[in-house]
Amino acid sequence: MTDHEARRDAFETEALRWLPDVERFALSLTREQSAADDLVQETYLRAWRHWETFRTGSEARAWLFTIARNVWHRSGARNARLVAVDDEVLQSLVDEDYPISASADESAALAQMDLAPAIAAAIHELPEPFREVVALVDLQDIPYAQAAAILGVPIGTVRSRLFRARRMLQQALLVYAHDAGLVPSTTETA
Amino acid sequence: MNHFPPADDPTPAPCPSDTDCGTAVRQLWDYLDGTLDTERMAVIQAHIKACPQCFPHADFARAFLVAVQQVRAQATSEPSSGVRQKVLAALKAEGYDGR
Repeated sequence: MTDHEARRDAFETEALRWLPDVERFALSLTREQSAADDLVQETYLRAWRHWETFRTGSEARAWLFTIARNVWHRSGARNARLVAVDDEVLQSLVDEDYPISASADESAALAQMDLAPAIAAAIHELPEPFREVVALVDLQDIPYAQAAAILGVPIGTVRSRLFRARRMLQQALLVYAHDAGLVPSTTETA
Repeated sequence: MNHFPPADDPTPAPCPSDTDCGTAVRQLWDYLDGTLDTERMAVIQAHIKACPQCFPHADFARAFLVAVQQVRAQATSEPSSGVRQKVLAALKAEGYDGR
């Protein structure tokens, strides 16, 4: 087997197998299919060009996610769409207290509902720093430490953003349930 | 991740302390993710079981995490039509000659 054949086979086995996961992650970043397709393509091109830098035996999926995120964060498409969330605003969102705005009755009703479709829609609407953490940890089952490495932030930041994101999603579900008349309207939502 | 502790007692007693509720709320996700140490797991579990305010919120949080897992499970395991071909075409232009 030539070096080229070995490189090609390793790339196919270790990198291309993650194409569906990379596509889902790209879609969670871009929120638009054609942009996601472009991002997936660019991610794999860069992975192929720099395949020698990938440490065989480590998980290529996390490496591909890191490339995808870096490409997206440098892309004009992303910058054109991004509603700026500066570090100070982001930190205040993360630090904000977590008031429980659902009543006990509402929480009990929500616990009995099929929440999956509404959650998928609510994730789509999260601000990017929270959406990417949810996409990695909750939707791709990436461990906190690996997510921190992909995002280039401390593990505590992953934890705090994830927890805040889940509260935001719960809040969105509450609004959805009220709008759909699925929970009793005994209290105002926040 | 997300090793949900059982819901247990459906008829909780009055909450002993507001401060405990704040602590329980802050550590609820860690508790539901199973990332607390054994002692803290027991403390939060005992609070949730005993607190009429926190009990339904923990139930909602559990249902939420189950639904998140459903979203994850429902995600397609195949790439959308076209994206694989697009990727392979781009790779082949750079010397990749696999399938």
